[in-house]
Amino acid sequence: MSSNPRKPVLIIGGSGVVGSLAAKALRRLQPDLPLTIGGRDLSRAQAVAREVGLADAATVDLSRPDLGQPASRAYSAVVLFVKDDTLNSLRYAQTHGLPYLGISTALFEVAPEVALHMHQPTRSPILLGSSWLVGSTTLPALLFAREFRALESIAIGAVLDEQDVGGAAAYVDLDRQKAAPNNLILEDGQWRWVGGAAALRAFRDTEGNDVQGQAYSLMDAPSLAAATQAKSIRFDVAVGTSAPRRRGEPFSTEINFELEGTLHDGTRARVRHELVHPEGQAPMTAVGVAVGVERLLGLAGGAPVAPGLYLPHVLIEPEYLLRRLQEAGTRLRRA
Amino acid sequence: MNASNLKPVLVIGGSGVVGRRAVKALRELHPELSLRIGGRDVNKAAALARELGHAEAVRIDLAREDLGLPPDAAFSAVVVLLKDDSLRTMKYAQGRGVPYVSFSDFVFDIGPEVALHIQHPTASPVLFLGNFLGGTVALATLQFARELKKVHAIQIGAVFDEEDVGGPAANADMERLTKGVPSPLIRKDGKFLWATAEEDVTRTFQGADGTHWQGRAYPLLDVATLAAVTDASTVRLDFALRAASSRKPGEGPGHEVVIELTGELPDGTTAHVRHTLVDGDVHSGLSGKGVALAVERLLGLVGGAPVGPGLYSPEGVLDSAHVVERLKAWGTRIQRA
Repeated sequence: MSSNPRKPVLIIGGSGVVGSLAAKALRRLQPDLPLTIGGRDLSRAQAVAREVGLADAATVDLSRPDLGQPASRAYSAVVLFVKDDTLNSLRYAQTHGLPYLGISTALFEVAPEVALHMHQPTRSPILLGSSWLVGSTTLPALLFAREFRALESIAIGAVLDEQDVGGAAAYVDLDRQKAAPNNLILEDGQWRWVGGAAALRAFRDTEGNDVQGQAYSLMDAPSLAAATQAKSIRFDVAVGTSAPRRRGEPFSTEINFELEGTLHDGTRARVRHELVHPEGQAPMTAVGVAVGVERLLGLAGGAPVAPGLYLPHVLIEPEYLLRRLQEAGTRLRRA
Repeated sequence: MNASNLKPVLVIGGSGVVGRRAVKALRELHPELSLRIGGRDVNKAAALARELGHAEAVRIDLAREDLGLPPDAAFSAVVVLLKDDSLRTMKYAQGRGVPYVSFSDFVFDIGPEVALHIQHPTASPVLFLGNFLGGTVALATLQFARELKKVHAIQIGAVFDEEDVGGPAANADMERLTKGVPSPLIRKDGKFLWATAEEDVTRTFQGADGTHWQGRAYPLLDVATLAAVTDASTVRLDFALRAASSRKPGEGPGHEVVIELTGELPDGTTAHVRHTLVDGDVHSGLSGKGVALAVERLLGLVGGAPVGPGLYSPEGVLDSAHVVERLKAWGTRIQRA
């Protein structure tokens, strides 16, 4: 690896279900980018590293400020596939001036990360990747919004198969987020916390089945509220049986977008778009992370990102992410 | 920077419980600073404006993008002392490139403001001032922490009179707390935790006069911001209520804050340091003073040049020694116990 001028990207949780897919997605996009697969189980991380190529493995200890890394190790970025409750990983990135990407922080729990940015704003570019499937929802929504002169509402309904929640890290996320039983939606220009029946929204999946969604607040709605004029924005997830599995086939994942407003030609319209991945959420999440990492490092879409606080939509062109998602098997349909 | 040369500071909610104390403190600090008191009840705001001098009342309509203000209105800062669920006030400040102070956020509901800042990072300085008592407690904590080389634990306890409940904005905050994220954030053993277990939510602490209080953790930004600045592995903020009947004759509904720090002294020994802040006013008094100190700093009236665009916590803009000196001069009794 000494012949490669670039230091490896440290992928913490890189041997997990989604992390290992993301390492492979990053490898496809960047054949020459060295990676370090970080995990608690070194032999498992080594197996993923061998499979990915141009990668090695490291044991990461999030309870230590140095993450258990020898002083001689140096990285080019830190990517988190687990929720780091200590935030030692973010401090480590800031200490070494490295880009940082995390994907597991729900809207209600961003404050400790934001506070670290406010404390040392010029140390690291921090990408808050915790929107649904790491930008794979917000960015296409912004693309679909372009045909509107005056966008009024965005309602997004995602179907997550109960067999497709992810690995151990995803279950830790769900358990932790039980502390926040309510979710934030934008309704007629006002942010509102909703719970119980008010948080439910039924929508139709891509094959016409009615599914019951529930509001879930990641950074999608705040991102779309900041980037558009829409007065009502909500994101709902239906966890259950995806359409193919109703027929006995393997699960899929899907994201349904419904936008309403006035088009550029002055007519009112309600437009629906659907994104489907026949293998579930993990390949889309993997692409979202891979595109985020290559953007942070300046390997695609622009120069290396300067220190600051970012959301995916301010760094990445929606067309580019959508193209990468489609190359990885995501299907787009205007319904 | 000279206060008399500045455009007026717009204080939305300026005639409310915290607002009137904030503008009075600001007036005391800067007799020449022009103020605009924004509220729904213009008569109430106008009476306060006359009392203050160099001030006028303005009607604010939060349902409008222009806040109901004339197109030629110009301000040096926009200070919002109520929760603006529409964020139109923040967009207004960003659109005009002036500092924005957001006073009413809990630790769990800053997401939409963070996104709006990320969308327009160079538009305005944005100050999160949802910290306890307008940031004064966080700044005092940092001042007391100066004698420590490394801070291991920050435990803040506050005792309020049961009749010291604040105004309508405070009641709306309590409702949002219940409907939002009722579990408080604490840092425990180096980990951030949204506490649900009773043993994590509650803490017994000793008040200024030795009384033991059973406090409950409260979800303010201090836990996140103090953890960021100090990296203390324990950080928490607990509130307790005192019965009004326990007041001594002639006393008003005062409050007290106990700041306990554990850490390492420069000589390597471990120390436990305890400070108390006792204030005879309702707690909105110190909140208002915190707002005034933050505004004068953002405008560059004290402590350096005007603060540039960015996202800020009170710890990031204010000088802790200055804040503690100010609080003492205003009559808060601060003691190292």
